[in-house]
Amino acid sequence: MALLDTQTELALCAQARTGSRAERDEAFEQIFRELRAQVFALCLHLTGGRAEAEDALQECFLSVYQAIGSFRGEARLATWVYRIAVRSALSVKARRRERGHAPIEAASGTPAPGDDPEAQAATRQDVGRFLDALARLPEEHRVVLSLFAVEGLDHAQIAEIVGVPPGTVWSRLHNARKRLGALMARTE
Amino acid sequence: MERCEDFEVNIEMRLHGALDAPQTDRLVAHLATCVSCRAFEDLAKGSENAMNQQTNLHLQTLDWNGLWKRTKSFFETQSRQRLISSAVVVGALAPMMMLMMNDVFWSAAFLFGTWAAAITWRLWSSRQKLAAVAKYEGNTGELLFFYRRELEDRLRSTRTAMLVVPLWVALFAFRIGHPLASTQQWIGFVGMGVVSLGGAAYVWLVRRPRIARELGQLKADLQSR
Repeated sequence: MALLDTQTELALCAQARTGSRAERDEAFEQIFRELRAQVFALCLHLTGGRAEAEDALQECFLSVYQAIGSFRGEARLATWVYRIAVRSALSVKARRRERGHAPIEAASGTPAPGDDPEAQAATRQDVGRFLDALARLPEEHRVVLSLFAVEGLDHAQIAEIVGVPPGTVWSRLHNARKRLGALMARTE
Repeated sequence: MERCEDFEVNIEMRLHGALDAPQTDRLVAHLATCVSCRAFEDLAKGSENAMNQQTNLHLQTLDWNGLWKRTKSFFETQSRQRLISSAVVVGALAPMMMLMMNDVFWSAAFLFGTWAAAITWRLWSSRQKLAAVAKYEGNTGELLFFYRRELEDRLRSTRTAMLVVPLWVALFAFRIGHPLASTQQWIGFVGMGVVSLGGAAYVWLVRRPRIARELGQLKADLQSR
């Protein structure tokens, strides 16, 4: 899941801005293909549900499609798309808040070490506890944890997405992790 | 003297490949003696693995072609809806404009209504900004980033104002010129035109470069922090 390099990003943006309708659609489809997995992962962590993550992904790419013409290339394309993804995921989650806190739906087939049923049950329990604690974290902590879990993003890009100085992003990640640990300990 | 909290931040940095060699050596030495930092490292690694594991399992079972098709049809539906809402807005505005052109009362109502809305919005956004500044008090980094977002917003809003204000002024120029005798109408047109163009020139030549310069300096400061 490698990120697009800067040259490809610039070429795609130029094609999306100045190309014909067909060229624009083609550039956009490539952006979708390249970033869909990371955007989905981010949306999944932030919304907590697969269906909501799919909705947020659609909203995110709709915003990208509509605004790509005004993207000036001041930030990396991926950074810009992730910023939109965070906004879309949080707004989808806010719209469905009446469901209460929603842990990430555990995917079926969660692997466990070996064939020992007891070990498998313990692992499932651990993952469940972790997902439940993650869902209870405040938004800003969840955002920073999710962004650091997305492959290919460095701390400077994360700081740009979150809108904090690069130095602050580490302390925010540290606070989020401490809080996550405390929530997990509480459910033990 | 580094505290456990500093080492915990270093654990995060090492996990994400941002820790240099001397700091890594100090961290490794500390981890050999500190149970609580080792527990934090396990938590950091474990939680990141759990997140990735769950995501990968979902990713493996996702039907990307289906999702792309749904996304494309979502775009088409949204585009249709935007077209319909634009038509509704234009349909609602057109009779309002006609009323405005033909009736002094409606003309004044729209003019003062616009002013009232602009003043209310301005007051509300000032309060929001003050609240945000109070929230970040004592944290210079966050405050500078807030200032940066604020400058970017101002730059964007001057661009919008460049489009909207001349249009609005032209409309009122036409309205003011309309009841005057035909020989005097040009005064209304030219007067409002001069005000509008003068304002636009001021925004474009003085205000925007000033904000852009300020933003550039701020970005450079933030980069060097």
